[in-house]
Amino acid sequence: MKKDVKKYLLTAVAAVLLLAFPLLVDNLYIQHSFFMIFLFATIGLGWNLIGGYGAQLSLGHAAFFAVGAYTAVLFVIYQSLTPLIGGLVGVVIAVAVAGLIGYPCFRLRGPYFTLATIAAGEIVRTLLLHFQDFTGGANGIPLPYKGDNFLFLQFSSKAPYYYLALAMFVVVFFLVRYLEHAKMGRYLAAIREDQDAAESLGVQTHKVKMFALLISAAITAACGVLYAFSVSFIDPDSVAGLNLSIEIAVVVIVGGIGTLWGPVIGSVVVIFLTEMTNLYLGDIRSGASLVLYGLLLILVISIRPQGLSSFFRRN
Amino acid sequence: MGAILEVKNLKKSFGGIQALKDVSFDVAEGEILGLIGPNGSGKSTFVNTVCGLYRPDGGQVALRGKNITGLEPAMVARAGIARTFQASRPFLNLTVLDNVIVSALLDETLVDAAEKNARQAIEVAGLSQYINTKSCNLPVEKRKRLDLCRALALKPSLLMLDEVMAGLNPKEMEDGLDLVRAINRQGVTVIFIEHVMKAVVSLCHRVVVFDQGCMLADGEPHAVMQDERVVKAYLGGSYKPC
Ligand SMILES: Nc1ncnc2c1ncn2[C@@H]1O[C@H](COP(=O)(O)OP(=O)(O)O)[C@@H](O)[C@H]1O
Ligand SMILES: [Mg+2]
Repeated sequence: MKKDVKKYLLTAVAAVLLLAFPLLVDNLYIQHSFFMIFLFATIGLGWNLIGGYGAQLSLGHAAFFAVGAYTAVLFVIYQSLTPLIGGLVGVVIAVAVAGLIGYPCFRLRGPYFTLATIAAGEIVRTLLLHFQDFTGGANGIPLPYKGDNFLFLQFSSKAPYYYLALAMFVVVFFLVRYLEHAKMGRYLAAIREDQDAAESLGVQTHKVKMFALLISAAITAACGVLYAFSVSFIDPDSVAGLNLSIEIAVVVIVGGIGTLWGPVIGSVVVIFLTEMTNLYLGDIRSGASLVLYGLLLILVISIRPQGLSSFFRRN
Repeated sequence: MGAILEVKNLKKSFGGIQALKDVSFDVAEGEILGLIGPNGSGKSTFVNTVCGLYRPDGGQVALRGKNITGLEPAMVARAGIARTFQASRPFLNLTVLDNVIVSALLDETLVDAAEKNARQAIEVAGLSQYINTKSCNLPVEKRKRLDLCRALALKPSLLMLDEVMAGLNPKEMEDGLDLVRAINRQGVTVIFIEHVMKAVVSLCHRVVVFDQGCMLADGEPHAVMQDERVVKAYLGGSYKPC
């Protein structure tokens, strides 16, 4: 009983602090960092559905992120369509792409899914580079400024993006928390443990994995939309690169794969370190961040293979 | 009563080894059928082929007249056939309860409802004292019991038990046999694979004998045990007269 009260009090304090954060800290850089933490925590929660709970390692989630980001941005540019709708179209396309990857791969065992996700990421990136008249190619594409306008997810301050990321995080967190203990989570756990045994109990493993992947892709694409509008500029390397796919996986693996809090803790650590390297090693950034992910992975896996969240677990 | 399972000319080879050469027999609705034979005679391969884990090279399997040949294992389970694995395969990092909830979810959408059914199956299987134990901490014979319990929670119409009694002492074996009888009385047809002949004779209504992928005999347990070919091929070596 007392423990419950303490838990609710802590939650309430955390909620108030998170809501008041942009009022308390007006440094734009720090506000953006917190936006990134919630954004990556959300993507990580989504990635974890298939990569963690389902144990199907994806190294191509940037594909879904990029499809969401580019679709929403291109609809604004060519159709002046609000990203609230354009983003939804992006999510649907990302889900379709996920279906194309999952359908053949989830009937096979072995590394095929991982390989296919890497390929999908590269295909999306290559297509974005190839159709440069339409997408801006390697130069990327800036978002036309439409003034402070919720319909176009454009704001004169950083705070609204922070709140949107926070809201998305909260929704996805509770969705994943629900799914983890629902039928889908139980089936994914069975698949992770022993696929043959799971099938002998009537679990249609390819369907369950597919369902997890589709939800995962949808979440990632939605995050891509929000990201694109918060930075007002996207290019293939930053939203469709293998770097991003790896960063997403590293966030979850470092934090604790297959756990609810893993992506959250992983995001705090990885984003903090990434922003630090950006700050101090800006010139050689892209190389530096990959080295950083590598070192971080080695460190965590050698000390705490279950990820950092296991430090917080009772018993 | 009619046949619940009809197996016709079932064949399965692994490379050069014909594990099932040409097997045909029916299983009657409601019976406990003993399936015996020396090691390597194809009993487990039969279970795995009927369940869809192995794709048959030829032949048909029908459940209550419906062709289920070559269906994927999940669909066979959904059609009403449950099985245990000879080397039990619990979900090692899950508790006994969470293991059984997975199978109870076949008929339920909500975990709470499945949990209720799972607790019942665990009670019936006599695993209540281990309900919150992680299954990697169970001794081998309890793991086998868990396999059986999970199969039971599927509420199958046909249950195939592949050496679930191995490693039990005589008292535990008696309890195990009583459990299978109780399951059978609920209307579940059972295919029972076992090496201890006393158990087979006391439990089974009928016995089929495999030898080197072929059916050697099929009939009433006592009669089969006295069949000369059976004695020669199988019982001569490992018959335990106890
Ligand atoms: N997955 C497999 N791969 C290769 N050979 C197998 C496989 N399963 C069974 N066999 C072979 O098939 C034959 C029958 O084995 P099995 O069905 O396990 O016999 P039993 O259960 O009666 O002891 C054996 O020769 C065995 O080595
Ligand atoms: Mg066997």
